[in-house]
Amino acid sequence: MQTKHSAVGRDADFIDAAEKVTGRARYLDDLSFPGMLHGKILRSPYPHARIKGIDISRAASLAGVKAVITSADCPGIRFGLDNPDVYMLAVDKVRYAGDEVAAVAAVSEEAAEEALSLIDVEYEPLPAVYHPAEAMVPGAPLVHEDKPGNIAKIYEIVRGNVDEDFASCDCVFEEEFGTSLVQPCYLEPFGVIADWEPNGRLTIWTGIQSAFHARAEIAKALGIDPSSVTVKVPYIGGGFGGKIWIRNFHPIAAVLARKTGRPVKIVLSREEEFIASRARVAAGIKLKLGMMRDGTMVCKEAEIIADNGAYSWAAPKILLNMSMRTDCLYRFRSSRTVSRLVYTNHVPTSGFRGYGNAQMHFALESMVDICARKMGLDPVEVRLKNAVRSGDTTLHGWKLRSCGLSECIDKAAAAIKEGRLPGEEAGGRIRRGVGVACMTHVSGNRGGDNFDGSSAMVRFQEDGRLLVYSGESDMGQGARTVFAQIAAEALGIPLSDVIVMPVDTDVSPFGYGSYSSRVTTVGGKAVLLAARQVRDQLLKLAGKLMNESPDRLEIRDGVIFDRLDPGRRMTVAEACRAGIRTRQAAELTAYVTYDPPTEGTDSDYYGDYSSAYNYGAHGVEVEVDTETGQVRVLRVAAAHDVGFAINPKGVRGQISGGVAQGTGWALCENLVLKEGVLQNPSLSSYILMTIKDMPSIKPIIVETDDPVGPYGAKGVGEPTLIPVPPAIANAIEDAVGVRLRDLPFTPEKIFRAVNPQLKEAGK
Amino acid sequence: MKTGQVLNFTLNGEQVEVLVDPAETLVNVIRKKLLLTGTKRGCEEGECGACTVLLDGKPVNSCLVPAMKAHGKAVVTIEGISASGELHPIQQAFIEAGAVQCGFCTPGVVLSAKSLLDRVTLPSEEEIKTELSGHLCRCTGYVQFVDAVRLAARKLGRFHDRSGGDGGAGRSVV
Ligand code: FES
Ligand code: FES
Repeated sequence: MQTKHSAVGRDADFIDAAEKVTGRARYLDDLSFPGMLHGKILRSPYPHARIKGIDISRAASLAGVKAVITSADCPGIRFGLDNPDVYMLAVDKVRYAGDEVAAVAAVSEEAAEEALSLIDVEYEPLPAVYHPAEAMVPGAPLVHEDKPGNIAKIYEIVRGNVDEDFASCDCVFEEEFGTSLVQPCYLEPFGVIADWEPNGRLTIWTGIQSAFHARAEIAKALGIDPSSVTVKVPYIGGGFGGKIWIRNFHPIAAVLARKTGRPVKIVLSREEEFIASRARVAAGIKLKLGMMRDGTMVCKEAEIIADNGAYSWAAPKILLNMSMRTDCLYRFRSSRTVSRLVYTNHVPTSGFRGYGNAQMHFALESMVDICARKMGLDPVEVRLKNAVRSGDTTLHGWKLRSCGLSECIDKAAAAIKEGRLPGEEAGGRIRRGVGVACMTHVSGNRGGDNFDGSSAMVRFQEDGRLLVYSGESDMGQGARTVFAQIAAEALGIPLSDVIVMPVDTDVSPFGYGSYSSRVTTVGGKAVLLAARQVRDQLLKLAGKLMNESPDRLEIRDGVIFDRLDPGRRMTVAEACRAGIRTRQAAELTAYVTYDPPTEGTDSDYYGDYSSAYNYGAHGVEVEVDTETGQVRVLRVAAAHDVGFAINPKGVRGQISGGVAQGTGWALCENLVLKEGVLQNPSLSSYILMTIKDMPSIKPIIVETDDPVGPYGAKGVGEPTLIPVPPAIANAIEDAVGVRLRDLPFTPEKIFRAVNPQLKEAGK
Repeated sequence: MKTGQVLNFTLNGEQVEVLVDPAETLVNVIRKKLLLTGTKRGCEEGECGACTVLLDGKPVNSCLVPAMKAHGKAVVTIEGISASGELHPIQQAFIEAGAVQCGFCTPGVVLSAKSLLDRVTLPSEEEIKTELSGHLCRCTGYVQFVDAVRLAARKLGRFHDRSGGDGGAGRSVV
């Protein structure tokens, strides 16, 4: 496999790594412009309160302050995705502790900060709702007056005849699971610089995953045309789904910039990243599974109640993924899911690596182990027996053009059984166990019959180096490198001769952005097609120059040669020089828009909507200290069907990063809210994995050569996190015989589960 | 009009003098006044390590250090270790080991790695983990950091053989 290709399928150093290790890569906060002001946002301390009055006079007269704004200064437009429910600055009332109330622009961060403390807001606290179940009760306080019952979204998705199927099953099991609120916690705080050009256009610099969506949403919030907005993306210090969508600070900075006539920068503090960013949607999940005695999984029923928080951004989409995707992991005959997304006075929620799918995987993949154990079956065998396969059309109409699920299960299970540590130590105080969990996800996502494609532009320069433009951002995952490898491979030029340009919506071709693990599969395919087109142009030109038919020419290592007479050759650089700025006037430029050959979904969400479907399985070994309840993940074997690994080094990096985030979610990360107020808004109290907590990780790359993706590739970004929490839960049960159904698995929970007698005594 | 104290220190081998506010932190002086933006701000509460610089050879979170604490001392930022324009072997090792994803944590981690390798020629896995335990990285899952520091140790060994160094003196490639 390795020999067939010169650039793809090989470990490549990230092409932008040198800029990053030297500190020369510029992130948003590293940019500044003449006259630039610093913006800060005043946030509500109350989870729910009426704003009776705001007095900005003291703040406005502070030296160095150039503007103070409230909702009165902003266009009265509610924006958002499925539920446009948010004003950039609160109108009349605040809905969570962290809600934006006013903003200032000043000559320094310090002056802006001081000005915030001089804004006087009179609040009248209102009764609030903190639990989705309470929020749905008739008569509960309403978060949004126009959302009766606090319902943000309801889905009911039924396939087949689930009642009949349950009646015919040998065994039916029911369980409940709960997932917690966690933050993406990318290391670079999110921010923006806004500046209005003299011609009336708005320029936005922001490290965002989806520049074109940002352009549309910022324009919507400001009530202007998207084409009046340019979004420029500097280096991004991590995103993980938390930087797909704009936040209120984007249009706020634009309003401050318009008011002052100067560029305005807003960068969130780490505290704001906790209290006012969008957390992973937390859900309570009731699951019912019908099985036959031989381990066949027949049908599944789920009821989900999810906490939307105070504003809906992508949460409805996330709930949809939660409601459906795991049904495509096994060959279920029928399923029914009823799910509700409920407004509360909590921090708003949105996407984070896994985008809803991870929550339901925790429930289902825990459930499979519970049921298999109860039936005396091997959970791994049960998974293998029911796993979907290549060629299947799943319950929701996905067409599996490639699927390596069984191979992933086999390999992860075998790898975790090898080299196991003793099951017990320290006289039984330390117990060890292993567990396996699988996953499925997408590589792209066509909502309805919308476009789900990407465009790419490639252009040779006269020295033979190639510029690649795409609308898809690199948030650190290595998209630039993958694009460069694809272009180098298609053109037969060295990787070092490919330059991948930063995203700029005025220059870059249209792309939806880095989410749904779609960048390699969809964005990469567009780059491949554009590179092939420019190759044809180059060979046509070279044919003229060499007086040879273009189909006898080939390109390798930057040299164009005659296949039948390899001595006849010219370099790509020579050809480019002869074609650019000469009378030959070869275009040597291609612009391709590619949309994968999927149908999308009908009004009932049925249909084949992703270019490819990703599968994987993790095996983990854990150790539990029964005296402290402390869990340590010792080893992880992570097998992922990536179709084809364009950059195996990048894939391994995605695996180790996803394992770290998944383990953190399972064991230590958790936003703790008390009456709507976040109790741990800092990295000292919100605990992330450190280098000392990491297990040893064995990445296993499974290749199934997807027929659609570029060189057979599929996505891998999100998949690597998804199976981690259920695999850990399964391993904990293997170690100590207790089942944990609520994330995170804190030492206290485990201690109480392992010592049930003490739980009683403690009461 | 500006009140402040005069801070005198060596920054990446050069003597600098700058007027600072007593409350100003070292990271802000480096970034905003001296315009070296390789030092990052990830939390400004001493928890992430992105703002790490070497103060007299020791890694510190420059968001917690009042700028005046650097008076009369030597500070090395990420810009100082590849001043010649060539990558330092540690930087090269981080790239090759795949230890760089988004890169936001990287300058700080590289400096801590340098401080460790300045003291210990061939650090153990435990020593590496202890040295880097104050750095948060949300992208990599850290496993490549260990590989990178080991690879760097090997590269530095060769580097010193070539330059005839004694393993200690030639180490500070500032
Ligand atoms: S910015 Fe200094 S430790 Fe995070
Ligand atoms: S590489 Fe992104 S935080 Fe470390």
